[in-house]
Order: sequence, then C-alpha cells, then structure tokens
Amino acid sequence: MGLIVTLLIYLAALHAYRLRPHPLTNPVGLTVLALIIALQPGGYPLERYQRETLPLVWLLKPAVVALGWVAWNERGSLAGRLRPFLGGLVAGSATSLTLTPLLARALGAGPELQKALALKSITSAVAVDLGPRLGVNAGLAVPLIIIAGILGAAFGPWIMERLGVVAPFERGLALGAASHGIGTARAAEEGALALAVSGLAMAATGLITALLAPLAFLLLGLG
Amino acid sequence: MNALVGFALLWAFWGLGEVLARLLPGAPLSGSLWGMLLLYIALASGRLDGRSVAAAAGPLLRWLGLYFVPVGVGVLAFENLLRDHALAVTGALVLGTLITMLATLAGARWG
Repeated sequence: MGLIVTLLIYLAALHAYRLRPHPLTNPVGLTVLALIIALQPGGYPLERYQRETLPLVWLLKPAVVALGWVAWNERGSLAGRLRPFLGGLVAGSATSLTLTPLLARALGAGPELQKALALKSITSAVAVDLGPRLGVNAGLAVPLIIIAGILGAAFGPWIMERLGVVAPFERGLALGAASHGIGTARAAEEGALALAVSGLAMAATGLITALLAPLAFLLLGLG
Repeated sequence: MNALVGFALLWAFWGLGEVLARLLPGAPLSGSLWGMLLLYIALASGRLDGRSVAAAAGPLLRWLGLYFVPVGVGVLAFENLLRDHALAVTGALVLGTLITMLATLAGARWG
C-alpha cells in the first residue's frame, strides 16, 4: 500500500516537474510533502509506512555504488583541473561541516539537530547510508538536505551571476558541492560540462564529507 | 541481460564494500561509499568492462530521488524538534548553503 502510493505520487510529481521545471517543484520535495499531508490526518502509522517502503531504501545501496561509474564516465571533464576541483570541494565540505552546525548552535539548536545540519550538502543517498556511522539520524538529515538542495539550486545561479561567476566548470562545481543531486539537476540546464562537473562534485563531496566529518564533530564537541 | 549483470555487479561491489567497512570500523566510510570507490578503481584499472555497469547504473540513477522519499517522510518523527528550532534550521540552511557555495568557489580558485 505505502509502496504503491509512493510510486504513484512520485510519478505525478515528476510530471509536474517536467511541466514546470523549477527547484520548488523538485519531485522528491513534492512527494515527501504530499505523503506527509496524506499520512497525517489518516492516522497511518509512520512505522508501517516505512516498513512497507523498505525495498525502495535498499536500492540506495547499489545507487551510491553506481556513482562510482558516473565519476569514471565523466572523468574527462576534469582534465587539467583536478586541483581546483579538489580545492573547491575540500573548502566547501569543511565549511559546510563546521559553519552550518555553528550557525545552528548560535541560534539555539541542540547537538542532534546540529549534526544533522552538518550533513546538509551531501546527497541523501550517502546520508542514509553514512548517517548511522556518524551518529546522525538520517530521518532528520534527509529533509534538511532536500531543503538545502532546493535553496542552492534556486538561488545559487542567481548569486553566481551577481558575483560574475560564469565559467561552467565553477558553476557546476559549486552547485554539486553545495546542493548535491538537486543542484546537479539545475546544472544540467547549463550544459554538458556543468552537468558532468556537478555530478562528479556530488559523488566526491559524499566521500570527502565522510572523511572530514569525524574530525569536524570532534572539534565542535559533537562526537 | 546486460543490465541484469550490471545490477548484480553493483550489488557485488556493495557487498565487498560492506565487508571492508566491517574490517575497518575505524574508517569513516560506509559500505556503499567503499563500493563506489572500489567500482571506480576497477573501471579505471580496465579490468572491468563498463558496458554492463552502464546498462544498470543509468536506469537505476534515473529514479534516485524515489529511493529516499520514505526516509524524507520520516521527518514526521521530528515535527516538534523542527518546529521549536525553526529559526535555527532556516538560518543554518540559508546561510550555510550560501557560504558553502562561496567557499567552494574560493577553494577552486585557490587550489
């Protein structure tokens, strides 16, 4: 029941996105919102819904592995640009991992929320898998990740234009590093190079964040 | 057929990654991330034919968004927490995303 309803709503949301492609019509965001609205008053237990949709979540495992194929497939777009690529991602990941929880802390959030927010820039696929290893609740992190993706995809290109950032390499890199898959979908509108770099950035950000997170949490006293 | 072989390969690399993650509990990488790295290395070494993997990875990734919808719905369990800290969440997400982008751009120019 939960599985079929999720599939149908997702298909409808995909259709809506095709009609009006905009970060705010992001299919995942729309589907989650619709399901929350549908589950809430009906009194359908969350545990039952999540049990019924477990097969979908299993597919995240091979999907993350498949990102290795994406990276290999697109490796050509990095020719001669490995240093700016890695420099940008390490700077972006380290900033996201430390500044986001600090901002949240300054505004009164507790440790659980701070840790979930620290993972806002990685793809949900990696967060679901990595979260438990870092002591982060994936159920809390994923909605925050989706919102960060929508924000970056909606306003990132606008801000970069104001700053005079026009190179497709840089635009794709920033979108993938800050806004994972949703940013990558936005980068696709800017051409093949931006799309490839953004996809690579998304895969590598998951990896770099995984490596840096334990140190960041230790420094912030969130371990 | 190719896609089925590729799908099995993706699971096999995940399984290898899971074994590695268990063997190295101190390393921060999860099984899937190890699998992603191992797959890249296998493809780069030229010993693994990318065609069957491509036949499975393409369609699998086209539906990527669908797989984490159930996890996203899990936010319901945190309704009160998020409502109580709406300002912190909004501030951290808006400013954090902006600063992450700027830091990435700065790092790329400096790198």
